[in-house]
Amino acid sequence: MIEAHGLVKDYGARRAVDGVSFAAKRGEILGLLGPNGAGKSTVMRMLTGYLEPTAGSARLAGHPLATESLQARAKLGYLPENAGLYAELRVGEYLDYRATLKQVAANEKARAIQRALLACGLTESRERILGQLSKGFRQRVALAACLLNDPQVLILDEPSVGLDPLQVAEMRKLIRELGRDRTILFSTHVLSEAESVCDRVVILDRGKLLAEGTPADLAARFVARALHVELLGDADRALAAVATLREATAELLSREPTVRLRVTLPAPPVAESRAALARALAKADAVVIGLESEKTSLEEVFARVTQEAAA
Amino acid sequence: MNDPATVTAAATHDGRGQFGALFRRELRAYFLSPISYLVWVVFLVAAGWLFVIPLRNNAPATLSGAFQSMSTLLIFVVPLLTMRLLAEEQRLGTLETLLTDPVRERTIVLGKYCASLVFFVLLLLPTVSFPLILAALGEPDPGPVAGGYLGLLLLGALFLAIGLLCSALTMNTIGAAALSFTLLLMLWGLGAAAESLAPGIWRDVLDYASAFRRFEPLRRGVVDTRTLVWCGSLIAWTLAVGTSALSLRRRR
Repeated sequence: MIEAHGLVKDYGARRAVDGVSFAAKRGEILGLLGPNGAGKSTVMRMLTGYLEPTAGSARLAGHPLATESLQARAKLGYLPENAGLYAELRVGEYLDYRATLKQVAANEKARAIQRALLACGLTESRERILGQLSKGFRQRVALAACLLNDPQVLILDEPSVGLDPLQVAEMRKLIRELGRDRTILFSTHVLSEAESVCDRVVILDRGKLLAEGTPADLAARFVARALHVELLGDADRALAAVATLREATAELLSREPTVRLRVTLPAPPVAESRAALARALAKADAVVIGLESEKTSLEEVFARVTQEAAA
Repeated sequence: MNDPATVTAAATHDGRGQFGALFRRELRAYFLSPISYLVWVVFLVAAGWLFVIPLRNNAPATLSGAFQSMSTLLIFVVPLLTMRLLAEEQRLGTLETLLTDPVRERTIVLGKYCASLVFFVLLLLPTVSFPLILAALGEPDPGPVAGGYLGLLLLGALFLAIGLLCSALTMNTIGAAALSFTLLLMLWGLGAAAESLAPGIWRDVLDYASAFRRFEPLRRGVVDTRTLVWCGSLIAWTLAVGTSALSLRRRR
């Protein structure tokens, strides 16, 4: 549904996006993460056809943007970071205008508008003037406009910026609902938002793609080097057994009712290191009854990935 | 959900619906803008004053002088009418949604241009009272009056196209107004320069290039198809360049 192949964007001598490639399939919510200036908005603008890449290519809903931009845009709903609205129009008038631009058939327009109003909780606001709406309502109207053509692909640039906590929660719920049968690419600064909404995330920094995967995969790959072990046996012998493993350290969390250790390994705990740990503990007559990776937040992943890139 | 076939069929449509939507919104924006009314009032007061002066001096019952004065007024009026056509979309942040909707750049340019042209015609409409007043006072020749209005319309249409191009090039309202005012002033300067030259090739070249000089025969009631073709071609070329300027924004 969304395919980016080696996207490059230069602004004069400055390279804003440097060979970014990723893909998202139908029914997938992909988060685009990165600090300010990472190139998230530029990537999104290239994927919507608003900017032409300096190099590389992209396909949207099966249409190459370079040659079938109009067809691709007909299947797209795009919410820019600072979506502008015409202050003088009423909500219903604006949606009617955008539905026409999106080439929604005349006999479908009324239904499409009603559906978008309903999806974004705007049915009561149809007659309100856009210039008099709060930031949250304006954002909802902009999102409703994205939905008019029932797009197969939604690209949302910081959709919850400026919304109050209740509106943020509503927006997340809406994105999850919309993502059931569409492809959604959305950028955010709020990593907890990405963690709760996205199926997968892509981390960008200084125009380069640093990491890609599910939040859990990334945590396992980049950060989670600690295991929580629960065992039956002697705590001191267990600690000594862990010390025999190369570069592994252990911290005793509890002795009773079961021994609980936090074991840090030199590399992410793949199957081999888990097995080596279990064998070492077995030699110390400890019976392992629980062994799981430490939960790692996306914030930690993000910090680690961007720090490693900077180093 | 929309039937995908319906949307696809609509997507292959020639964009007339999109043109209509863009045209209506732009025309509405003109009527909601205080600048439009200010321009309207200033233009009509100035044009009325320039119409009355020759009458007070017992000049012949013609509108030739008024048409010439109104043509010069367009140098000041048109930049104010066209400066926001595309630059305002950039300022409001609506250009990004406009250019990512399935709309062709030429549809955007034509929709906005036609709205500005209609507003310009409405701006001229009250001046129809001038020939009516003249008819009450004397017997004006209808040929030069009709030719003068045709010339004024063509000149306005050309200037509006230039103004729209400037709005597309600068994407800044003040910058667009300044650039189009400069270009129109240069066009006017070509005519003035031609007048100052002795007959010869350079005078012919400047005469050919000057929009103001080209419309002089129309004010005498002489309709030359070469002038119509020249003007039509120049408008089409200017709008095509404006469309390209909008397309090139994707490559910036």
